[in-house]
Amino acid sequence: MEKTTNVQTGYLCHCLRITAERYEHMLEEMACPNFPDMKKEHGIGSLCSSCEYEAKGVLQEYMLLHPEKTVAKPKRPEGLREELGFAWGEIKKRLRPAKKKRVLDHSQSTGAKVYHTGIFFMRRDGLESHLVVSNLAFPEHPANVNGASASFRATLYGQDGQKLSTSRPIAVADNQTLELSPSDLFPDVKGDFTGGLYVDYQELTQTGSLRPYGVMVSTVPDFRARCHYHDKFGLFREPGFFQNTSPFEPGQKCWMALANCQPLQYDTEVHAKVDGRKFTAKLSIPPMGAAWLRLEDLFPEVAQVPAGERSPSLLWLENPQHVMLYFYWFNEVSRTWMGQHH
Amino acid sequence: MAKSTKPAREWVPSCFLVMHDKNVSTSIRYSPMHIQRADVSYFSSIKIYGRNPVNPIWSADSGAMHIDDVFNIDSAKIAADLGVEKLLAYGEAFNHTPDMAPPTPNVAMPVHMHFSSTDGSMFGHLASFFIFGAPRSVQRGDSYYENFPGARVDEDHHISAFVINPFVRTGRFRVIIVDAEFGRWESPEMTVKGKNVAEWTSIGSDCPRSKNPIGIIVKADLKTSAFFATRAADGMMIGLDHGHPFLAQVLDHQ
Repeated sequence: MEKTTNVQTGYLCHCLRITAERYEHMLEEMACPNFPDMKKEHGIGSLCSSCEYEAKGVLQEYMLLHPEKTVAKPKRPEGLREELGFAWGEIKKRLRPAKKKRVLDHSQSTGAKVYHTGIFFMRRDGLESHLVVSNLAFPEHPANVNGASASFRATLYGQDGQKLSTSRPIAVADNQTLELSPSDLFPDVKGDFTGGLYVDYQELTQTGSLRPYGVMVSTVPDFRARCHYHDKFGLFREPGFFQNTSPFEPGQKCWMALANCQPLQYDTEVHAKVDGRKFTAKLSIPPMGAAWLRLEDLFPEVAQVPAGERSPSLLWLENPQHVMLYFYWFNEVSRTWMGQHH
Repeated sequence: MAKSTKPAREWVPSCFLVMHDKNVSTSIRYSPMHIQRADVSYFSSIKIYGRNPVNPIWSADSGAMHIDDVFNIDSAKIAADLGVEKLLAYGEAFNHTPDMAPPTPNVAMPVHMHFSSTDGSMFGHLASFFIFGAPRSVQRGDSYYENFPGARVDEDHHISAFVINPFVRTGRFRVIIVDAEFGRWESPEMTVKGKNVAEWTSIGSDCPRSKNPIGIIVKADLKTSAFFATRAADGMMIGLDHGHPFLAQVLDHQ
């Protein structure tokens, strides 16, 4: 007879018959929940271990919601008077009503904040970036925590880092999704541009669903694109190098889209390792500037590598100063585009 | 004196989708360039799952890698090894180095999937998804939610939602479409088996068509990950990207 597992039973841990609800209760009971102690005290994850990922995931999420539990309680006090006080404290805690399971509802919270973020944005070569935002109420909240609408302004910087325009205030109503073309946002900006778009929301209670995406759409009939790509604004240093493991795929041309979101020059070496050979190029992007580059143009020497030997290869940027970086690929057969951040 | 009992950071796996048939292929690639340390060795372990969520049906290990190496697996190799012509399978990548703990709270080094096709039906590039370990404050209630803005469902566009379940239990999910004009539409409840992938598509669905861009929400009872494909009316894929959770804080990228 086939052994039953938690696949069939719906237990979080089948071996010990622990339901998701009971696991949450165990977390509530522990002073400082962590997986090794959970394993030691309750055995969860100690037998077939197939529940380990879910148990760790639920635990981590619980700890994000209960940061006070990351610090151990003070040691039990010594002395009769102190011990009695400690015991009374523990009794009072047990008498408190249990918190509602798992729900962290910020719908009543106050303290609205500014949310500043950005994406690469351009209009050229038959392609055009659109800004999309959805203002969706969290489905289990009685109302949208950001009120009847959220409003923002968008500011566009060009290739050389100059400010090109700032939009009028734009409101996105509760449950509304907006898709805004460069003409919608900046009717005064004519012609092609390559740049960065910066979105400033005012008085948000939560980011919720308001993270902006760009959508690269085609404006000519020669090819088609509707490629989503999301905000990548940041002022930090990356822990790793920007990299792309598919820069020279057969039948596909790859472009790099970069917007420097910092008031600092971005100078970097760009390396490509193709068929065991290493190629290097230099790239300089002015503060708040941007670039749209075909990788074949950045590395013309790669044409010397036989087409069948160019994949897999690796491209990376050595300067870890954060920039907003995306790659786009054009499929020469289907004549379609796709894009993604890295 | 209070002491922190927060466990030391450890490298954790991430999950992905692999697709393969006579037209479609997936390249699964890992490079340690994710980290700036050239003085340590990196390792990648890839597992592909079938019907049994406890035991993988295929696996591969990279051996020791240098920072500028690429561990590459093509879906054609997996399909050939398994003796199948088609694959729509869940995969896990455990990329790690035994020489150092993760330097930041981002404790998974992802693989990237590059989807290609000869007929244009699949074309995209995605990083693998966190199973756990992402340091974000996610708004949740009795269910988990991910959203995707600016989708189009009209005579020229179809949308698909792929839902990845990294756990061994079967999960349930619905697709919700929200528009300020027509309100809210919910799909019937669907299931995604353990360590598996399910796809919902607007083709053949009774979901409303709209001249407006719409918001899409995936509601799930497990902490699944979702990503979204846009196809033109003739089936050509013209967009592929992941969704985002509802974020409980106001993000500060400074």
